[in-house]
Parts: sequence; C-alpha cells; structure tokens
Amino acid sequence: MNEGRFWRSVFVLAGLGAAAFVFFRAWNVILPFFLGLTAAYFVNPLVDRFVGFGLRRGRVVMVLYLFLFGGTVLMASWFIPILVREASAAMTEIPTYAGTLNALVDHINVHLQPFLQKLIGAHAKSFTIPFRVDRFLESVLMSLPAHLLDFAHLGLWVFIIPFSCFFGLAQGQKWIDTLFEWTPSEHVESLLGLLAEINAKLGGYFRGILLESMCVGLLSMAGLGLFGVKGAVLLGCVTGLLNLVPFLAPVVGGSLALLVAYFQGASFSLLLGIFFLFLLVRLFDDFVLIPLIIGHHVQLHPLIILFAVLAGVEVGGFFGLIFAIPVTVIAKVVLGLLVRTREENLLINQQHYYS
Amino acid sequence: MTSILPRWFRKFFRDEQHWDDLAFFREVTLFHGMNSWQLGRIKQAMQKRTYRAGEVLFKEGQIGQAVFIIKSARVELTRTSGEGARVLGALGPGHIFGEMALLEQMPRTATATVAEDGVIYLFYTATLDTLIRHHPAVGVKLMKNMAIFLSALLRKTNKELDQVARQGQG
Repeated sequence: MNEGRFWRSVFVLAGLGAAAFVFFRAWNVILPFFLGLTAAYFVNPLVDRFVGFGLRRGRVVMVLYLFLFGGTVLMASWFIPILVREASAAMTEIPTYAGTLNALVDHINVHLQPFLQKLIGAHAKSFTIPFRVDRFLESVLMSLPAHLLDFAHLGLWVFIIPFSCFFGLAQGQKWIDTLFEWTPSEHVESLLGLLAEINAKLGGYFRGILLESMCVGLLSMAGLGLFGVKGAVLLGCVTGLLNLVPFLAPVVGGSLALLVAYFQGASFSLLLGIFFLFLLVRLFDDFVLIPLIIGHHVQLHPLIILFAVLAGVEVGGFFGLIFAIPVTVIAKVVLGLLVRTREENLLINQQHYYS
Repeated sequence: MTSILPRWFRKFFRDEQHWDDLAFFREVTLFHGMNSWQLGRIKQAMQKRTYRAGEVLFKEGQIGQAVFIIKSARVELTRTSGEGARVLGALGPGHIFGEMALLEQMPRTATATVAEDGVIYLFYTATLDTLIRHHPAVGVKLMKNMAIFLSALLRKTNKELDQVARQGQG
C-alpha cells in the first residue's frame, strides 16, 4: 500500500468513526428525522406513480398530504373511539383481572408448598411466588411522572416526522443526484449498483413487512372477534404492531390474547381455540404471506435474523429492534459488493499480467 | 393529462422538464414503441449525471453493471493491447453503450472516456429486474427492443466479417 492510499484510508476510517460517534450520541435527536425520512421512503413509490405521468413532484406531495390528513382525520374519528372504548373497558376490568391473577398466584403457592416440603423440608417456606398485581400496578403508576418527559418528546415527534417526511418526498431523487455528482466518475457505476441493490432488497422488505403485519393484525382481530373476546380490535392492533419484529407477534401477541381471554373467564376449549388461531395465523404467515409478499427480498438465515434482533435491542432498544433486519440487509449487500470488487480487481490484475 | 382539465390546473401540475426528457427517450432505440407512462417509469428507474471531458466512465476488464445512454456528451471507446491503446470509436447524443451489462455481468471489453462535457443516463441491472417484476409490460418491450438492437449489431458484425474475408481472398 502506498503512502497516499494509506493516509486516505486513515482519513476515511476516522471520518466514519466520527460520524458513528455523533450518530450514537445524538441518536434521540436524529431518530424522529430518521423516522420521517423512512416514512418518505415507504410513500415514495406512490408519489413516483403520479410523477411518472409528468406531474410536478412538489405539487403531488402537497395534494397527497392534504388527502392523507383528511384520511387520517376520518380514520381517527372511526377508529379512536373503538380503541378508547376498549382501553377504558380494559381499565375498568383491571381490578377483576388483578384479583384473578392474585388468586391464581395464591393457588399455585398453596398447592406448591406440600410438594416442596416433601422435597426440601422447612426451606420450602422461602420458595413462594412473591408477585402481587396490585403492588406491581402501584409501582408502575408511581413511575409514570418520570416518563412524562418522554411523552413530551413524542409530542414533538408528531410535528417533526411528517415535516421531514414531506421534505424527503418533495426532494425525491435529488439527494441521490447530488451524491452522484460528488462521486468520482469511475466509481459511479459501483455506487449506483450498490444503491440499486439495497433499494431492491430493502424497499421490497419494508413495504412487504408493513403489508404482512397489517394482514396478521386483521386476521388475529377477525379470529378473536369470532371467538367473542372483548378487546379484539386492540389485541389485533397490538399483534400487527408486534409482527414488525420477527418472532414477537405469535409469542407475545398470542400470550396476551390468551391471558385476556382467561381473565374474561373463557373456557378451556375457547383458550385452546385461541391458541390454534395464533398457530394458524403463524403458519399462514410463514407459508403464504411471507413467500407471497416479502418473497426473495431478504435472504437471511434464521440464526442471523435472531442474532440481529437481539443485537438491535441491545444497541437501540425498541427502534433497534425494528431496524435490526434492514441494517443487516444493508450490511449483507455492502459485504457482497466488497467481495465482488475484490474478485473484479483480481481479474483485472490477472488480465494485465497475461497481456 | 387530458384536455378535460382546465388550463390553469394543467399548468399548475405539469412538469416541463419531464416532457423534455421523454421527447429525448422516444428517440432512443432501446425505448422505441413505448408510451408516455412507460417512458416515465423508465426515466424514474434511471440515474442522470453530468460528466466533464476526461472523466472515465468504466475501464476495460471492470465488471459491467449498467448501460449508458448519452444525452448530450461525446464518449470515446478505447481498447488496450500489446501495441498500446486503440480508439474503437466515438459516440454522441442518443447512443447507447455497455448494453451487454443488462444481460450478463461480464468484464467490459473497452474503456469509455468522456471526450466532451454533457449529461449521461445510467440504467442498472438490478433496477431492470425490479422494473420487470413490477411492470412486466415495460420489461417485455425493453427486452424486445434489446433483442432487435443486438440483432442489428450482429448483422453489422457479420457484414464486416464478410468484407474482411473478401478482402483476404482478394
């Protein structure tokens, strides 16, 4: 490696390191802008459809925002009352649920003691389940003021996200055009290749997983509604949201639905029915929805997906969980390109050697 | 846009640059027979860049990943052999080159250098795949035009080979 190339590599690595440092330090500030631009990435194909007819991008985005605003108001006026009704019903049911759960814990403790006493004698008394729902709820309520600031942050996000999404959409391809103008001519083809591959894989994945989550949410909602579980709409929404994270919807959503049905006094056969409903939705998701909607966009080994999800939680919490797979896909494409570039250089060197 | 819409409405929404670009694309061999909507989709799938004279687009031996369409520049194609660099030809506005990259990712057989400043469009293979998947009608027309283009190129090469053979016999 010559000296110029060495120092250039050092500067590039130092620059990347500094950018990563700033990114992680200012993560909370960057996040709403990032979410806004991600939303723009989702909606962009819709804008592109109209722009493809020869319409001005900025004006199309303006009209789209007017429609989205109207649609959101209409949806909210229909959907929010149902959610509020179900949430307030759940709130009034909480003391009953808490009583049932406390009774269940007491029941387990009483029946476990004779068995444990036979096994470990007098030490058995220290092995009781100490969980009390009322105390747990009290501690949650006490900690609420500390989280009020988080809600204030969220309030600010409500403005920042649509604002940055608007500019992301209105700019369209101009960001990429500028990037290409700055790129040295001989690297344009490789950079275009990289961006096109990331876009092909990620775009399909992002849009696919949204559609897939919506289907899973609606199916769960319909199934729970048919079984007569109160709060089916709320549970369906939660399951759909959880589906954005791999492996989470069937486990957490299903458990939540089973718990709620149990507290509502569901029979064993109904609980079994709910269990099979979530199993069926999962199978339908695995064998029909994922191959049909997401298909070949993301070819990652399940073990890598699991590792990425866990690493995402560790690094970025909830949003780390959501963005774990897209980041892994980008890393896979970049690594693939690096390997290809290396093979290409070897081929060129061989040709020079033989000519 | 249809003429049913009021004039002020059309003026408010119409993107003049888009229609200028489409007029250029209509003249490109690869996009013959396509309607405005199809050309619009193609335009969105392409990347535009302004090049300065002397800039290298790709080097001989590099794996081809994109096809280039010249809008307003002049590009020189050269090939290096034991005797040094040999100019294969110069291309101008409306010309396409590097088209084989759309079919197979093989090493480039020549080096392309910009001889005169101008704008060049790039169309990448992965984008073509996405386009074919989402808009099969556009993909089919594009591939048909590509086959016609390659067939014409093959006929031209055969003719040249024939001439060389005749010169050899004479």
